[in-house]
Amino acid sequence: MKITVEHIDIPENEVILRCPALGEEMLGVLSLLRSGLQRLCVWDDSRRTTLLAPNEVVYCETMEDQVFVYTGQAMYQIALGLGELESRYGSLGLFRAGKSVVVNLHHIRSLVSQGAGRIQATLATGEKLMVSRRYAPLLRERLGL
Amino acid sequence: MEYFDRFYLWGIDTKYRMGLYFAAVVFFKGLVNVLLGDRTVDIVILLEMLLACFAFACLESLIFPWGKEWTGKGQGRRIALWAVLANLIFIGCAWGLGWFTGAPVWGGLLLILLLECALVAMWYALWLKEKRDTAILNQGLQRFQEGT
Repeated sequence: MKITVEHIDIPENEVILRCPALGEEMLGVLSLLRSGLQRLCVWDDSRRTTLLAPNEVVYCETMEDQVFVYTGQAMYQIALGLGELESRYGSLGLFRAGKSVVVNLHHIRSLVSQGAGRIQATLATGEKLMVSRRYAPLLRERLGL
Repeated sequence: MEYFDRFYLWGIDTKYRMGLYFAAVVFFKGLVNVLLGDRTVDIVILLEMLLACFAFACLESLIFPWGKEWTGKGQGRRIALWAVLANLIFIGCAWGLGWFTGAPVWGGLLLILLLECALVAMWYALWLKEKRDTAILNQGLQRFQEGT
């Protein structure tokens, strides 16, 4: 990718991306630029990009090195990793619930204590996620317990 | 080193449960002896009880390894196996090694009934603990969701 920085006298900073099609690389750049707006830049199957507010995210999971974002109505892909999602939007409720899952604590309907130190989370969508033994103490800490 | 640590942690957990079972068995042995007019417990019987409790605690850790959990039929089978082993080891040792010699038949049956009650009580206690923990977790979740 060719990067050019122009110093010109304009009232507002501007970034123009030029490409034949929105590939993984460009989507990543877009995501990076837009993440500063506290919005998640995601794209769907038809590679149409959308800006999601973090509170719209129900949970995110990795599958085959790709990160998918679930909103309850739709599924998107995102260029950020789960660790980045948690560190950037953790204060807004995103919590690492397992090796491959980040869940939005605001979209959890209920929690059930399970044996072996695990916690089962039922999401507002009705889906069930297991908070692993490793992450369960962190969840308790996050909930102030 | 990792294997040693795992073995050491397993040892701590197993010894804890062995101690728990040993205390219960010694309590009933002491109670039966007092009721039979004997104020002493044979040291060999104490050793047998300790070894039986250790064997049961080891088998328990094999049936329910730490960090693993089964649902539905898998869990049911393991609980059934655990209950059968508890009965086999404790009733078998008590009868075979003469832990409660001198006790009447109805006393033996009462001890078996107490053993079954204790086994059920253990699962009931675990269920209660999880129920209470679930309530605490949901209170914390509600506070979190309302607070931010």
